[in-house]
Amino acid sequence: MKTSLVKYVLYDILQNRIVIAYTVFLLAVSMGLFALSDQPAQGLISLLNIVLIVVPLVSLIFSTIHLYNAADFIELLAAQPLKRSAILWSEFWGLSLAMITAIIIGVGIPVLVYAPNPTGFSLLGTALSLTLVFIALAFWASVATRDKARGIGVALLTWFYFALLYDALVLFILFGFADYPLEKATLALMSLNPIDLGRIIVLLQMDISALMGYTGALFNALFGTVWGIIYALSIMLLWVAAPLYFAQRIFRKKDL
Amino acid sequence: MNHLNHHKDTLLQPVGLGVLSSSNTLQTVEQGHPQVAPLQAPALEQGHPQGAPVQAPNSEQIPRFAGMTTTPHMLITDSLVKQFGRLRVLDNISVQMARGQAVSLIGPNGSGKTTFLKCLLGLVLPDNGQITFDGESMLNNPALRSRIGYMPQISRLPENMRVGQLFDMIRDLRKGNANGYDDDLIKAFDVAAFSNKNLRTLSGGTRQKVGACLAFMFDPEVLILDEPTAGLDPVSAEILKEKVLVEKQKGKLILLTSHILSDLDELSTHVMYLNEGRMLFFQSMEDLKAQTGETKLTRAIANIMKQSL
Repeated sequence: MKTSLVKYVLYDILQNRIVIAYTVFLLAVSMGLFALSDQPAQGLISLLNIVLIVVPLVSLIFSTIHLYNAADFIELLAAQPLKRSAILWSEFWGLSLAMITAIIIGVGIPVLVYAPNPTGFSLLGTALSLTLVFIALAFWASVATRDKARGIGVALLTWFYFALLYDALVLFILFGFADYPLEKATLALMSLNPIDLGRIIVLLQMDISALMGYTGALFNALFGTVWGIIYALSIMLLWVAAPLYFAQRIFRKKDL
Repeated sequence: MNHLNHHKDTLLQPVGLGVLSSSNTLQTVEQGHPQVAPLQAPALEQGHPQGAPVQAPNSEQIPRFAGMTTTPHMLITDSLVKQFGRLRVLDNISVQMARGQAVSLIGPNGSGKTTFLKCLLGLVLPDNGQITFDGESMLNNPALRSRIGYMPQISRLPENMRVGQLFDMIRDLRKGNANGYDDDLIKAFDVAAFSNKNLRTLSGGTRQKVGACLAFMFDPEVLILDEPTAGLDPVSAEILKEKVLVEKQKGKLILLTSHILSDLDELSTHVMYLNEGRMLFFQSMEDLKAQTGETKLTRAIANIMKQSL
């Protein structure tokens, strides 16, 4: 990876002011929610729900559109004496740096002001990991499909699936197989959705796992807080690495 | 004189298919001979001398292009195949090109010219076949691209940058492996006048100018120009053509496509004719003109096309 290349990618991203608008939006929402709630914990719960919906959506869609728009830029770079992998990684780190900065300012500062406790920081950690996961998924989607509209469609469906559809499916399975011992299966199902993992990381910290019912209690019992978080984070890391791996495999052989 | 030495050095490297090194040296001196760039009929002075003295011992490996065995081949493709879905865009392209040649790729739309050029650059990866550059495989070897300058058909440039920033960036990314730095075109096109403009706002012709400057900027040994004059105003097109001629005299290998055959007539020493992904012939201009009995490339090609139909 070339650091100088990351610099230019980052510059390219900051030129359109979406990332800045995103930062301001996050900051306003976080500050607003904390200011409106009586207790910081209440604010955190509200913020958690926003973060779990908005962060994946914005990371995914913005990254996908950026990658399609950067096709010219990428083609120009690919004709230079640069490795394909260097180009892909520079794009990844450029996007990640921009989005991570947005989260740190937009979520990190309010958390530091209103709720500087483990729960607050776990929320920040969740937001950051979800950002990386969904940027990685965006890479996969946009490298795999040549057509822009189709790529964005795939990205939107991915978000829709993880944010909304997945929980419905899990509920359906839980009700359908209620007569069977489903503890371990539920755990596995949860690992298959990074958004669920993020929710668990925060809720475990809040010591309100009972609120998540069955799965949360189970999760807590199986792992305890510390191991639960380590497990969730490592699965999350896998969720970043796997899509990037597939993206790079395709990109290495892609005709530009 | 710098160039002369430079070429001798690179010639000492192994060349893909067996070619006698003694004849190489002889050729180099002839080809690298610094001439005051004449503007017309360079084809007659360049190319391979008639009755070249030494035959390569294993010339049967290079059967199709008689006469080429005497020149040191710089860029060799061996049975290059590329398929887009069911469509065979490149079908077994084997060709050998040497320094000092200016090769025109001619063929109808969709005959695979751009795909061939993109294969050489590694922008399109061939399904089969080999590309060698001074004896080294081009595939998975991005470092070799530092010796190639590429001007794409439509100069697709990053939208969010200013012209000056783009030049700075490319200079920054290619520093360290530059052969040298050549700002002739940057001056001739007066890039400074619009270096503060955003790339998104540039007209097609101005984009082409930027693309041309980027291709020539690092004084590369190989120039790949895809429709270089398309969209340029007559004055700029003339500047670019003169620059191509100058670089050819320096002994560089130039590959270019154009649908304006009269442009190619002035510039090229060889013609590579593609049709539906197949290479119908690769010939020197003299041979082509002699064979068809025509003096103009336009007529010669028309002649060939009629015959092949």
